[in-house]
Amino acid sequence: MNYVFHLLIYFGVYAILAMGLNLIVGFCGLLSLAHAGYFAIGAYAYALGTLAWGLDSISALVLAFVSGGILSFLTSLPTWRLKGDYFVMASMAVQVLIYSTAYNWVSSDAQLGTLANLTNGPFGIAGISRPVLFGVKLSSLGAMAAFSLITAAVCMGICHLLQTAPWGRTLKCMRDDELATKNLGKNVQLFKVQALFVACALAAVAGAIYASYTSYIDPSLASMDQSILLLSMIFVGGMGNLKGPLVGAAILLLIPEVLRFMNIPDAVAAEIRVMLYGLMLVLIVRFKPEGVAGDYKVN
Amino acid sequence: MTQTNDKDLVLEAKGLTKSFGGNAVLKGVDIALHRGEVVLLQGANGSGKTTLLNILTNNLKPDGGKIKKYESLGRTWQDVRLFSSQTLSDNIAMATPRQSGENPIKAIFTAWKTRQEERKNESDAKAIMRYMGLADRTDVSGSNAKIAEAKFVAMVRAIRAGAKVLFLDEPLAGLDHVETEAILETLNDLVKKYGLTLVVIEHALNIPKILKIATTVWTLKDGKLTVGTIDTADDASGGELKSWLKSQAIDGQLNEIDIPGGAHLTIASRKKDTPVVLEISDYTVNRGARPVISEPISFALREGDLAVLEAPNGWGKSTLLESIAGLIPATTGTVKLFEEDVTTTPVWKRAKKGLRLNRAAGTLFTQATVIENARLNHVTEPVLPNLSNRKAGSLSGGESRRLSFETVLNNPEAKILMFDEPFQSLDITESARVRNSLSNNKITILVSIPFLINKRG
Repeated sequence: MNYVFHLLIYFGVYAILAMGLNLIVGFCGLLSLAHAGYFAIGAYAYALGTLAWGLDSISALVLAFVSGGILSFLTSLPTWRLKGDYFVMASMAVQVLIYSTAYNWVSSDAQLGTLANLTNGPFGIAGISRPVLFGVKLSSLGAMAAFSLITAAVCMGICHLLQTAPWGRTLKCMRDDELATKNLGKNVQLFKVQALFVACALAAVAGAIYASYTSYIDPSLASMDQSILLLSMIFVGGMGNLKGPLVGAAILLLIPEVLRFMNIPDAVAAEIRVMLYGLMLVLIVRFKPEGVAGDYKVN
Repeated sequence: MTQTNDKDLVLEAKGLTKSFGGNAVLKGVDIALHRGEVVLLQGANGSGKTTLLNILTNNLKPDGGKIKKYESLGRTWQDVRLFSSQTLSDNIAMATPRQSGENPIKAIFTAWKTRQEERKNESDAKAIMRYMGLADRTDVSGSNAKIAEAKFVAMVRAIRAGAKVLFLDEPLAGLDHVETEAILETLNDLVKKYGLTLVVIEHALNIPKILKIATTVWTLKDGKLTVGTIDTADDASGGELKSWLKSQAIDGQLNEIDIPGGAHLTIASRKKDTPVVLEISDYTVNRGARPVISEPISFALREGDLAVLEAPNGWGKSTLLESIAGLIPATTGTVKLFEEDVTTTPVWKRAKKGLRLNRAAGTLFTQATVIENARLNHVTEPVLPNLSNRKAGSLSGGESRRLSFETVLNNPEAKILMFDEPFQSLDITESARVRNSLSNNKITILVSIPFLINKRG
């Protein structure tokens, strides 16, 4: 049963990440490589909030959300007028910046969470405690899974309200034709900033749940591999609607689990997993470019 | 010109200048636009009409000059630019200004209220669609809209966004006679009933039609704008089509073939007793799952033939030509090139056999220069000699059309040429030049055009 709970916790985390990234790629038409960076920002904010700054779990979760949202300006403001390849390159620069910051903001003499040692660098942060909500510590895996899924459901509700409102429609129009949208009096730059704010804040919330579950985080959370994994989820599952990212998160989460039951040695399984991801992407691009359950075909 | 006073001024511009790469396109343009005017903006290809429109609608910065706007402006594009993922109804609904549901905080925290507002907005959009006679097309996506529907929606969308002054870039381009009349009637209504001001760019063929509603004519020439009378329009492919084709036929006789679905093929034989080089038999084509040419068509062209395929919009002219070229697979039937069945032959092999297609748009390598585009088509004669080193993507609409046409027409490896709507967007001089070029090239040529007249002359 614990194994199922473990999978459900991860599904909640990756579903939130994929839903957020879907807002940027599937709704704005901007291919972002920085999403894992915001995942890491949320994880670090939660870890520092609870371990170093004495915040309770809910405040740390709010801190993660706000940090992700505010630091989204790192991507949205410099890329105000960028799209296509230029946006991809700028988002990659942001990802590298976040990763380098997490890796290098360390001093062995200073206490964790101070200006001298904010992230503990490559050593990461250990001992992150499980969330305590309304006086109840979520120490069991079942409670943690419920927390992860309920948070994912709330995020799904937020995404649903946004995507089905005129806000979501305007994002799609902007994705189809930015010039025509602008000429109809819509402030396309503001819409982009808002979409990135929501997406990055959601990624940070996912990071907070992840940190509280695994109790250990390090800079690899912000790696390019993570960003590519997240992009693979929405490419495979599909974009431009709500269900595509959920399907993608489920598929990419289940692939390594299937290999686990095939008695393949771990080292080989890791290689096979990467090959399967690659094969799946090729097949999707060739035969179903809108993904398994999406309604937007990336050009 | 309409009698007006300053109260009626909706847009004023003084001394507008604009250059591209040292070429001055606008050399001090002055404009005074008044409420209720319908202006026809005319000029030769490359005279700067679209540049001026882009400047006036804030899509391009002028190098010099001042613009004062007293009313909100809107525009449409020659290539329409509907939102392809949205339904026609949503294309209109999204344009509504100040929607509370566009604010993400309100969309989340006052969802009930914003949804109520959105329902009203959608119902208004559907009412507009009914008014335009498109009640049964509200749920069609922008990418599947017919050209006339798309043009209607693009106009109404701009008005829905609050435009009181509407700039229309070739609103009649690509429309057949019935669609043209319907658009003109709507434009007339917009001016008479709703007091809109219109500035219309049109190419030579459609100028007489716009003149039915125009009150003022602006002519752009040598970078200057003058208010005056217009040139008389030539009809490159309507009434004069038949006489032009007759003049091409060796015996003055035309071979006329009715094609299922309301299309018509007119063939002028320019050489005697030549072999068949292109043969289409029992041909139908789908685009994905959608049948486009569903009734089987058959025809054959001989070496040296000049053929014109006239068909209403939506018939599938472009689809047919693209399919013959190998870009879209045939659903049924066969294509034979020089008596060889090439129905399943890939496009590059058909091109190697000498079959070339000039599509209506997107035929240039935009990052390559003019001369590079010509050389990629093995053309050594100078095309647009003054612009040889300019990137094709920076050319004006007219210059792009010319480069695209000339490079395909003069390709020495071509044996059968197909041109999709080569007269579209051309002024009188360019239309005549295209006809002359088609006349002078004696290889097999198939040209598609929309029906421009009610019944063929």
